[in-house]
Amino acid sequence: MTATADHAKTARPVPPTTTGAARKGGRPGRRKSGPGGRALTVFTWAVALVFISPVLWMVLTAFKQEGDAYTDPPKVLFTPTLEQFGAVLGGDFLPYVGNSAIATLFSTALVLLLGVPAAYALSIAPVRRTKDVLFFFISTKMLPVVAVIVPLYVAAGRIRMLDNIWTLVLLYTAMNLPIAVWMLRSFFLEVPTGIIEAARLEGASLSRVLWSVMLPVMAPGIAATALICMIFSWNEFFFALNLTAAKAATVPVFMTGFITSEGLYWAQLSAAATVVSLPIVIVGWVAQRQLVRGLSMGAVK
Amino acid sequence: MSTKKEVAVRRVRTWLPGLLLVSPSIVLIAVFVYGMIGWNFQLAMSDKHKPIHDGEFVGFANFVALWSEARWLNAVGNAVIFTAVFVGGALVMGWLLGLLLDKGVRGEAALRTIYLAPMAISFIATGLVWRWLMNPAPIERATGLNALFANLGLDFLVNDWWTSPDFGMVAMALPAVWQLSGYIMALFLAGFRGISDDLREAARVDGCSEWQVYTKVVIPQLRPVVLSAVIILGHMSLKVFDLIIAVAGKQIITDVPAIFMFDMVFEVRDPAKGATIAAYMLMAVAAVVIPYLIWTIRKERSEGR
Repeated sequence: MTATADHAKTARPVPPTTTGAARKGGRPGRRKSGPGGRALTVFTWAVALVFISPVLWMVLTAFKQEGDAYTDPPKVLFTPTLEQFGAVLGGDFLPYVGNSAIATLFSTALVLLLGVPAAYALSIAPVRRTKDVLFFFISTKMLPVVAVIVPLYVAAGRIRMLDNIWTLVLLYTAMNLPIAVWMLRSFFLEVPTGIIEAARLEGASLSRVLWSVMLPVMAPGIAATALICMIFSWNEFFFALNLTAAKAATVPVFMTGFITSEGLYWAQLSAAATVVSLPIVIVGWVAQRQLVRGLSMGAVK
Repeated sequence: MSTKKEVAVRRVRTWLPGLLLVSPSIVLIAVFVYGMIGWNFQLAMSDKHKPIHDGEFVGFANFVALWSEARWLNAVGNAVIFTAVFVGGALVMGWLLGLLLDKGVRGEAALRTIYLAPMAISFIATGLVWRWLMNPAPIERATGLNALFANLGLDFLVNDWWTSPDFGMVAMALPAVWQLSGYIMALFLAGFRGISDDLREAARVDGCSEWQVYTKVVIPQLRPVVLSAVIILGHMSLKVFDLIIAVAGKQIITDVPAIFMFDMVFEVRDPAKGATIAAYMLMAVAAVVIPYLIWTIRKERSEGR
């Protein structure tokens, strides 16, 4: 086993049998050099290509003419066209994007506003048992949203909040808050307690500690949490389908309607699906590390 | 001033700010999660079978009546099949992918992103691709996998996918396996990396074969990872809805409790029945998740957090 350059970065130059790097959790793989390792790399990348091919195919089809989308065998080489994107964006697609954007951005902002202080309190509060109870109460992140849809529908109907985008904002906030608190708390727990104690000894108030000491350290963790909340809100389908109609419907609802009405136009459908996935792909590209971290942690819908 | 009072004041001082920080979240979750769940149970125990009814208390009558309904039994059976294929498939796929990455390949960070990517895209978008891949149309108009199989001369693999009465639900689980196996891979990878090389080395020195090192050292240490994965996948599969709507739409072959409930509430307009189905789904998820949450919190505590 030979240590490569970036192996040495995380592990100190000690014999490979120590566990120092493993405890950090950031150890790169057990690298093998030579033809065996190279073959494995090629194989793994080939598997990854097959794995992601449905998504690649979707994007490729989006640039096709309808006629090219059907051929057998499927065409890989064709004259690309933006026609399908034009058809999707030229329709009544944009209001749905607006609704999705409102629901996503406002609910994520609210989640952070409520979740950051709560997670902080739950990670430092001195009394353990009560903390556990509160944490348990908040961390109901896995409960199914279907369990609340019937009363919500009845209630929203009574107070005339059906088909209203702010209903979704409120619900997405409540839906994502448990996940956010759960994630943020584990990020807070990673912050060395020494920093907080030092700041407190110097007489900094709680809000001061939160703003000037914790936030800078926490920024990547908060970004990862925000990303997850945004993805969940953007993709959310069940509430949107059931609680909105023409006025406040979001992109996923539009998509299902589109599938029903344009069911056989694969190229146009692919263009719509690509447009829907685009914001997430862009955000994920910009903040790849946060996204991977967030997805690995808070993936539980 | 008595010392008792001083202690009390200090308690409040240490307590109050924390409580104030937590309380808005508690209120929101109390109302929208627990409040609504309570209301749901109240509806499920009433005879509000039309939206305009007031709903009298009928106890567990709705809960009992559901089990004599063919559609409910079919939906539950489908959910069981889906869960088995989905959990088993994602575990095996995730484990294999994790194994590949653990051996040390170039570009691990990029590979991780690729494997996690399907999870970030909504089921509505990926469901569309799978609709194309698993197109059950006759072979002249076949697309996706059926066309691929036919072109490769693997005609015996050509099948009806989600329209098959026998295997429809198995086909339905395939996109879900695809979507989540990257996540399971990440879990396993972290698990593999957590096992010290010392331990493996010691086993080798003691004369264990590589196979024995794997079965006697590695697998037992991965038990918590497998448990987490099963819980996470299991509770997700009990809730499956988006994927089926996107790929197959509403059809009896791939009917599941969530779709049944959706029909009852929004098509048939029977709130009590919808609430009863929702209550069963909640109980099923809770039975899986609550012991797990308690276990996680206990483990955290024993780790001294």
